[in-house]
Amino acid sequence: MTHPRRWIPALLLAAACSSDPAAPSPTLDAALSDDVSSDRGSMADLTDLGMPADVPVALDVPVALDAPDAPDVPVVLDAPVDVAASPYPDGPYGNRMGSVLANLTWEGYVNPTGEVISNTLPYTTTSLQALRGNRRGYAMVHVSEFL
Amino acid sequence: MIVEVLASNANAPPTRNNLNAWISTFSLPVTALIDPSGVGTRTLNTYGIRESTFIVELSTMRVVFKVNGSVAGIGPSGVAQAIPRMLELLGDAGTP
Repeated sequence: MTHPRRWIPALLLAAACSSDPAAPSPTLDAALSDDVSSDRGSMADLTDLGMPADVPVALDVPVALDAPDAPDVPVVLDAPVDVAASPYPDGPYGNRMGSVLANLTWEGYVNPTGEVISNTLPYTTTSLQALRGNRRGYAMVHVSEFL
Repeated sequence: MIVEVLASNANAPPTRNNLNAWISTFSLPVTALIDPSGVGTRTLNTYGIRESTFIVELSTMRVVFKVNGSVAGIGPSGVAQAIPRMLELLGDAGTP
């Protein structure tokens, strides 16, 4: 599953989609800037914490936080979705609050992890049901228009 | 789960090239889709005018939040308006 913090830049990116495509918002730029600095770390970050800059720091060493006796099982962050887990809810369908959103089919790029720009992925067909699978929680569906 | 649907190109069905341009313009890292060819602007006709943002509860697929951004592209987008509610819901439900 995707950690909510990873959604924030993606949400902000999507938020820019209703505006002029040629002019992403300053908020978006700021969010991207913040995300890059926080994810990669920097020498400034270390010195801000009072650490000397010439001390080697292992930034990417995996750490077992609180399970010293647990078997070394890899964590699957984005497990494959079992699309047959549950049938799509019955209608009536609608687009208002409280309505069941209709299951539509689409084509395009399915990007569940948000780790790459979407059009670097295979072009495929999908549906709201296929995307939903057996996931829990909530989905954001954004309908936009190319102008 | 985030689903971006490019539902029209000036009220006509968008093409794959339109979708690619849309993604590239914003470097979108989310699922981005268009209607399949031959069905017209089905998403626009079914889900409503652009730009509509829905938050749906995945077990029931019921719309728990909906907001429309400005058709003129002025002011905060529907997504920007939906983010606080989405984060609130995710805080209640754990990871998506």
